[in-house]
Amino acid sequence: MLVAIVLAIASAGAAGCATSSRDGLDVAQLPETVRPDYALFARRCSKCHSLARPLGSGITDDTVWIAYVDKMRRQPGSGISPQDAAPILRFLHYYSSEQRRIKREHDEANGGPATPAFSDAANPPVSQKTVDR
Amino acid sequence: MRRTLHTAVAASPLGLAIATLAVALLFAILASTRARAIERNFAGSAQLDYFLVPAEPSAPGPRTTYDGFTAEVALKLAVDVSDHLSANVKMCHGCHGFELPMAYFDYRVRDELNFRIGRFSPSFGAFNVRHDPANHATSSKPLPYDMGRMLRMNEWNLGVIPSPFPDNGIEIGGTHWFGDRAQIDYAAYAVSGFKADEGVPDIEWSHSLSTSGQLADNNGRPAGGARWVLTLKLGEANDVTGGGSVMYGTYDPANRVAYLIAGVDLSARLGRTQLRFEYLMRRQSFLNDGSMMTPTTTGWKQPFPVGDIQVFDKHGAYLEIERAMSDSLTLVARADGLYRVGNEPLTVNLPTRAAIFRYTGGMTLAVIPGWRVKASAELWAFSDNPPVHQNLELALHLALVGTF
Repeated sequence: MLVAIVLAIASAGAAGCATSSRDGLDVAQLPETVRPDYALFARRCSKCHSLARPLGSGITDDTVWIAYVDKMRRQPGSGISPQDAAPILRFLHYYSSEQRRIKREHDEANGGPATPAFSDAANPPVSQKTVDR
Repeated sequence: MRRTLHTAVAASPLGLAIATLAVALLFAILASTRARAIERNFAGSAQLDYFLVPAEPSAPGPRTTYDGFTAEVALKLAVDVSDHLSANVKMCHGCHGFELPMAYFDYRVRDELNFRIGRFSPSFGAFNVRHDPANHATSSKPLPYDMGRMLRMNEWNLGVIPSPFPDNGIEIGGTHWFGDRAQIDYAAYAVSGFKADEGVPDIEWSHSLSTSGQLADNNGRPAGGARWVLTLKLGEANDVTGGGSVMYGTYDPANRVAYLIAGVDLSARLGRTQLRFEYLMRRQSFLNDGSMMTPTTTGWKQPFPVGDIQVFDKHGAYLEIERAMSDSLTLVARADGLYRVGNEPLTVNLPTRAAIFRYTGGMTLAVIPGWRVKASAELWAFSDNPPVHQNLELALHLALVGTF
């Protein structure tokens, strides 16, 4: 039975490799201006957990990201300095915007409810908000 | 004599203080919920692991290993009531059934001063912040922190300290950055501490579980501890973190026997490679109250007059290297061990000097976003009374772990 389980999971793994499954994002698919912020996000956040944790959290609200990056920054030995917070939040703002755009396009393509509330006008860049210290 | 839950709570000032604060904070949260919107975040992780132990031919007694399938599922709710007050509740289901490892409030005055009140895992060691199965690369925890996935589990009765070690109490801590290069963290706490019934010569982990029904302190005297951490950033991709931890408390109802646990840790992140080292030790006293004696023996492996107190030492360490080979594949290698020296009851299947060495090689592979396969092979070597590596055993882990 164990052999069957190993084979099944190995097959899934091989399939995963073929479709570029990864914990993080494909850097080549990111705009050049976003790559340095993503690199910092990846370095700092992967120290304690996989990148899938924040990327798969479903959070798309910048206000929530501000609170969470601040909470992670205060973790013992996090290595996330106050100066690191701004570029990490810039990347998360970009990522959240992309997630909202993909969802909106998906909803429209399937005839479902469009989500005009998810406009970036209602969610300005993080740099325009106050980051609590 | 075991006290009832009621008398234990009544006799524990710390327990009463926690209960009062918890109720007060709960009312504060409920009140603010009506007044304003609050931020909530729901997250979790799950791991299904198969632990294959082909044989335990060298074990002196019946096998005491949690082999086969084990599933661990955790759900966590974090609520930011205000900029300064947050609440965290985490439920998990694993080998011990349903457990409540987190139910606490954080009141943060500023980065340098935070009050944590409720049920939480007190700050001890570096591994504790990564104890969730989704946050470490192997299925098993390092031996100093093991709480059930080790061979000869019953003979050793835990590693040095189980992780997580949820307990009821209060912790005061904080963090401070010196510029952009150096971070210091510190915490001091008072918690109920480990427990054991009268006359039992080692801590009884089962008494600390939510499911035990014995969450009130068994002796009314808090255990205390502290941790310090220094992190230095060495360029954009490298950093080094060093820390020290200590904990002291009594574990019997009469406060006659105690434990001191101390540890140091050092980790370095060099590009895509992580190096981690920790050393922990527990010095514990225990009493011969005469209950182990039989008509023909004193009940102990070494001379131990009735009424005397002796100590045993348990040391544990691990060295781990983790390398991200790509965005999907991570390799990990680890060497860890335990060493115990000290008297024991005749009923325990372990010599008075015993050691375990374990060598682990493993990998994690991302299969779909958020989900990874973990596979690892472990070579165990048991050493009883000086000869080292006298008994070798092989064990294999295969797991699927995910976050949501």
